[in-house]
Amino acid sequence: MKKKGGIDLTLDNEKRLIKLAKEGNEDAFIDLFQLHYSFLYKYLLKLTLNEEISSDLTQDTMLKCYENLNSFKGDSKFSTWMISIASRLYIDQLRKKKREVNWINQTKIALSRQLTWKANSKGIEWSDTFTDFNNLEAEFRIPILLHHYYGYTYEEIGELLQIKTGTVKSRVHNGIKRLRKEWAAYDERS
Amino acid sequence: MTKDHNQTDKLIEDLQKDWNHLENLPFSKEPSSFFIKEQLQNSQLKKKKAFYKELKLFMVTAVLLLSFLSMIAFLDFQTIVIMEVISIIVAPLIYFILIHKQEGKIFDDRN
Repeated sequence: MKKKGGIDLTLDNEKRLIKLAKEGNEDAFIDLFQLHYSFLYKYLLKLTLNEEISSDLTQDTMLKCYENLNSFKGDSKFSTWMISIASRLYIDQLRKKKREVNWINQTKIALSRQLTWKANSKGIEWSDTFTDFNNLEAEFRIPILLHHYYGYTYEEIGELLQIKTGTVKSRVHNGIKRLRKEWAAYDERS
Repeated sequence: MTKDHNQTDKLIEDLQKDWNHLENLPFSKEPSSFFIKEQLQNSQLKKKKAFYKELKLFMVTAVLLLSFLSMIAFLDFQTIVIMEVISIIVAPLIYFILIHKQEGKIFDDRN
């Protein structure tokens, strides 16, 4: 399991950069963003499975963070705050594109080609569960990823996504249940 | 029950492996400071432009509405009263409908 926050940036250093950025120091914000870039980008990649979309969303997240920097109180890690904004931007993007079925289908095809090519060159094979997981709705995927990979608690995810803890629990539980059902279906077929 | 647990553990394990694969795939490096600076400045410029555009639109609408209302007030005071009463009833209704529409929209998406 990956440790939440993901990067080796001392808290003091992070606080110093945030303080400078809040005072209007653009370079401090750029440093802060560059330090978190990889973590944020890879989080989004696990959700979108598309390099281009992840890169665009990472940039959108950066701009949103820059605009709302003064609302960051420092109760959580900066990376957690970024993940929170990125998740909501991703959800917004899905909502906007909801009716454009063709767009989504095209993206899915492009994504599997890109990833397959990269994975093949590294000799990686994705599990069947991974394919099923990526077919789940975002409402299930996000909390499952945050809980089972990044190690966030249900309470933290609730705060991050601005939903109730109970809702997070049930989404993680139901998402896993649906994956198990798919597994059972594979077993029956084979 | 134990079988379910084992299955879940295996599922999570598989997923974690796949996420780790993704994590370790080579991807392009973070954008340069120059590029980020440019992006920040562009976004600020866009925001400024959007603000002035909205301000202009607001001013024009306000002037138009005010002149229209004052014209009616001079000509027919009764119409003004009727319009006020209607807006007092309709405005909260529209607000309530919009709020209601917004709720439950989060996570309403299917990918």
